[in-house]
Amino acid sequence: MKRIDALKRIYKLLDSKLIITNMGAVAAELYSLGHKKNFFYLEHSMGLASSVGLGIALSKPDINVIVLDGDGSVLMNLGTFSTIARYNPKNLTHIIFDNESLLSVGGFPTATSTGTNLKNIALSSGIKFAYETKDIDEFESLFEKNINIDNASVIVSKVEAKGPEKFTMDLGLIENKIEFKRHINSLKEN
Amino acid sequence: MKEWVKIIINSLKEHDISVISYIPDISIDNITKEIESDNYFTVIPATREEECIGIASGSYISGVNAAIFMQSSGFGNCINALASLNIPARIPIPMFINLRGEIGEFNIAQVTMGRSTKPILDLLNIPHITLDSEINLQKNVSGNIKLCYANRSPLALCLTPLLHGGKIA
Repeated sequence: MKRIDALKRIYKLLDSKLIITNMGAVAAELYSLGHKKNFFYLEHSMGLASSVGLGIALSKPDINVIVLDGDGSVLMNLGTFSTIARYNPKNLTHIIFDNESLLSVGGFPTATSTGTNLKNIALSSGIKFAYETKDIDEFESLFEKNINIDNASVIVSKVEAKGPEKFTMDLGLIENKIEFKRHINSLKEN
Repeated sequence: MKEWVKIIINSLKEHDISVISYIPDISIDNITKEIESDNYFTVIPATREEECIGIASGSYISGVNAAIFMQSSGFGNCINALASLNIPARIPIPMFINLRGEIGEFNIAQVTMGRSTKPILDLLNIPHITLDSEINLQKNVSGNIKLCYANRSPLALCLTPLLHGGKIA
């Protein structure tokens, strides 16, 4: 499975949700499908996409929050599973595209290439619903199912170590933050 | 409730700061236990201070102001998060940092990070104030938090043993 193809499968389902991505390939590929004002891309702060997503999910409990993350980032902040499990926000779905590689900085292998299993770490951290899949149809159905359950969930999607042709995005970090924050505020008013 | 605790809690409420992410520590237990028992606050302990930065940033972006409590050692754990998220994206977070390595310190391993905290804050261009007395504390805390949000910059409020009595060894 290629990450870009997996993103294409769920892209049409993202409109009513808040999307947080980690830095690098995930951000660039989601952006390449068409930026929307409910997308917030971390440009660095590696490992913190799920923590930012948790902060949003706890402060906006009625809106679905989707974190699009990578194995290298999650390995830098494994404590995030424990903290998410402790609060178990039902509106948080943590998707990890695991390509077993630090692709955006040169393709170096990560610990998931040598046996670390993020789904099992999530389960052992107390996350009640965690899955791993290599199949794009199964990924799509896991996504559709888990955004509507009454628990936080983790979906590890094993993908090929292939990234976008270019990583540049014509969107400033401050601009992205202001637009995203304003979008959330507008949801509150409705 | 100690006066300084009351002043800080009132300042948090005055600025609609209702989410507190923190790493527990006995020196600041005087204030964090009051915050935990106050229904106004949503308290989110994390495993590492970087996570607190992420959680508080997400909360702010979604329209709910958030502050952090941690030790100076924990500040060392979140330098890159501040430098790569809060500063470039202009996400304001008041950070209450308990300074170790001050008077009465008993642990050699806490001294270097404690003493390096303010110079590092200066290098990051993050404003900081030192809270070591109840004199002018309300104006100092409340006024600087207001400025923090106006300027959309993180703020460090450094607590010392002169204010809270220090760590019981």
